[in-house]
Amino acid sequence: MILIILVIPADSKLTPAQVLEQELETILRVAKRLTLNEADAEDVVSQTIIIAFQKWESFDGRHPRSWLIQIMRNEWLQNLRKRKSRPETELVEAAEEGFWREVDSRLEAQFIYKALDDLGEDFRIAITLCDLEGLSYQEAAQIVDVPLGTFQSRLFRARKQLRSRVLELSGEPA
Amino acid sequence: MEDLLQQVADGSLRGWRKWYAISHAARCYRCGNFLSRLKVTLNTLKLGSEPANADALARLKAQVRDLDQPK
Repeated sequence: MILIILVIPADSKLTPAQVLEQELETILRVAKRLTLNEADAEDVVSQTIIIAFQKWESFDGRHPRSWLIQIMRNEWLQNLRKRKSRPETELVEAAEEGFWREVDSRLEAQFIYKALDDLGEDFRIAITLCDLEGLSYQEAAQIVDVPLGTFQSRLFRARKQLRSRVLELSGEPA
Repeated sequence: MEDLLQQVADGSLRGWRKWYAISHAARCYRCGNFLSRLKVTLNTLKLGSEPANADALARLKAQVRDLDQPK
């Protein structure tokens, strides 16, 4: 039997710029879902870029998307602590509520995204990571820094709440 | 049962547990409704993910290029 051992040279690791170039769009989308605000999302991704360059040497090169999202989430949590309060979610105006009642099933997606934005932060990030960005339970659990079982349970509760909220918004019975 | 149905909907359940959950959903109106609704929701989320803000993305890419320049 011939045993082939592939040795990957240390210098084959991508550069931070290459990784960021590949992942930036995903990180920005996740940041938008996390912060619910375009400006905050851009700010926190900008901080993430700086930290990614600073910490690049200590990164093992595996799962760069998870690594970057984890940095971004930690930065966002620190920002929130500095502000001492969560940013207020935009209030839905009455006129908009009327609009939502009139839309038909073609606008299902809008109900779903609106419902997603209405969820609490932990639930929103769980659904964003697994159901929008397609990360595995394991990767997402690592990002939010909870055990796998805890994450699964959180994701399942998040989906149930999302479903109830969609039904509420669309005026359908549960 | 709803936990199993969620794993059916996201494709993470395999084997006899998947078969059990699907056959239950086929017989139970409430679970069948839950499963089909959840599948629609998850598919919509996957397909309809809105693109990142193009202007913000361009600015952030510029920041990356800037940091990548040798000092």
